[in-house]
Amino acid sequence: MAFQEHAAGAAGATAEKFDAGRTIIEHVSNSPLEHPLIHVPSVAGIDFSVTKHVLMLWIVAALVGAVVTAVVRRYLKQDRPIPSGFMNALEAIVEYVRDVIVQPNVGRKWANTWTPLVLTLFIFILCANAMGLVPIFEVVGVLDHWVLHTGPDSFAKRLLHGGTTATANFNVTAALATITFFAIIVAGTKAHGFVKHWKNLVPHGLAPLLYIILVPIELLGLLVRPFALTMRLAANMTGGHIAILAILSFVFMFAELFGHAIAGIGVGLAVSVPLAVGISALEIIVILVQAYVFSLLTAVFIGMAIHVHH
Amino acid sequence: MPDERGHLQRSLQMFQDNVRRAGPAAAGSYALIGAVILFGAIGYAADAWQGTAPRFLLGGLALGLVVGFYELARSVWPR
Repeated sequence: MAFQEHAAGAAGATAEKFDAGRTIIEHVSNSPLEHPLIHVPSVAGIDFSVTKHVLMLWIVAALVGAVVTAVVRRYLKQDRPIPSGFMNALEAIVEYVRDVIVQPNVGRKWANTWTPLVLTLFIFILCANAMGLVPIFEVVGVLDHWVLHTGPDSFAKRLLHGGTTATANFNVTAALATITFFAIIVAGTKAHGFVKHWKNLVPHGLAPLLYIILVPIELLGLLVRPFALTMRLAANMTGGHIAILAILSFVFMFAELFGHAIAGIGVGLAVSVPLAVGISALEIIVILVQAYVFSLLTAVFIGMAIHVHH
Repeated sequence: MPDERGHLQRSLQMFQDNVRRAGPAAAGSYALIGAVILFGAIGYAADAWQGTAPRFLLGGLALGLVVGFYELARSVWPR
């Protein structure tokens, strides 16, 4: 919607200069804390106000929870346990995650223990990534502009100016990686016992001096794994959106450069829209690959805690 | 028995197998980059806080390299 405003602005003589960088950052970042979607009073100094990415997390969690629960309940109520329709697809995903992602990494013995966690991460990340491609808030904005005509400080107005991929927020991916971090510790503890798990971090039978070096390196390495997961997912999800927005911003840059909206529209039709459609198609692959890689790395790290080799 | 799967299906299967086999190596390489960024950023923040630039930044980058390469070696070392 910021683009629409800029387009309208570009046509006028007193137009504000189009700032592509600011517009793109506005779109991919979360709502500012000064203007959250739903203001909630601070508790113990912590601001619990609902921002756009929090709302998206709720929508994704509610959607996944409701759909999966409804489908599985309907399946369990059947006389003959033969999956059909969406349950077929769900069963294929569950088996795929168990047989292809979890089992080769954590082993047959622990596959059923860790499949639920990895499967939850996979489906949640996949759905959160996919929801980022659906322009929900933009549709609300169009409806508000043409039909609803709400006030300047309305909920619909506050939804605008920003991207909606919750997994492009580093806080979200950090929370998911924190789950992986504790899962690694729990996996090692369940497999070897608490004390043995921590002893397994370093090779046995080395010179005592080496332990002084290796123990801190291993402890720091524990922090690095979830950090790598955090950065990788959020950066990949942000990158695609920035690329699309940068290409779309050509429309307004050229309109401004030539002083005519028709120049922008021409560039848009010839370059921006075809390229943006192509990148959006690539993004469909990216959302699948990113969910897959996060789940795979979680399984690999859990497997490393279970099958210790030095 | 000849493989009756289509070219696309075989290609996707091959791609999937390669990605799965690359899992440990990917974990190691991500850890290497993650360690350098994490400890470099911590060093940079420490420098900004204490006004000691670039000591902590360099220290953080060096530590990140050590931890990252250790993680990489641990991930891909022949078992």
